[in-house]
Amino acid sequence: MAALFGVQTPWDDEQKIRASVITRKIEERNGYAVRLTMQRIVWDTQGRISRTEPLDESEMYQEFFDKLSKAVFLEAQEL
Amino acid sequence: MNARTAIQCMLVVLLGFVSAGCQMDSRKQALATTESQVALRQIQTRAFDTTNRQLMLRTVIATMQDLSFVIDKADATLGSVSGTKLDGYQLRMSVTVRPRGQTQLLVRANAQYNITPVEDPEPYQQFFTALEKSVFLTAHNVD
Repeated sequence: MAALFGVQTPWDDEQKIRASVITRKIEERNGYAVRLTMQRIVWDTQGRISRTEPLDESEMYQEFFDKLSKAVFLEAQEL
Repeated sequence: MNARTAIQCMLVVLLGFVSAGCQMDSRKQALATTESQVALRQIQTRAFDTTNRQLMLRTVIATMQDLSFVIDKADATLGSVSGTKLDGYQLRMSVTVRPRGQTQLLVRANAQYNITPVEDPEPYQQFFTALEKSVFLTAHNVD
């Protein structure tokens, strides 16, 4: 119907992910605790903000921590 | 132009002036608040029976993260933490921690919902309740 009248329905186009990483020293384990929080702003094809939301999917956090673990390992190996 | 049309035209012009007169200059209103300064301080401030500023700042950060904030800035020297929560709206909040006498810390939170300052006591009460639970201390109202 929208196409019939030449009205384009906007769809999600671009997004910006905001994240903060907080580190905290843990003396008894001689290490650091790292906590990450993420959220995103999504713009549609007409340049309008279509949604803003926190990101709660555990897979995204797991992916970050997996990459961080590798990075820490590589840094330690001075690669 | 008959008399009736002339009156209608005048009314339209008059209404235009009235509505222009009602508009406030937003630049002059930039520092205005609806609540009194003292009332706002009471709503936004609590005292805690601890002097461990570093721990309090860390707890503020953790509590904000519990509430889905992304931390934008944190400064241990100034004792301030700022963060943003996005969930169909934008909630920006700054929290400052400073000593009060020899035994207490004052924690003040300041929030904006989209472009409106938050001046209701309830959201602040909710934040301080969450902070109390995290820090295992009671938040005292400040006179």
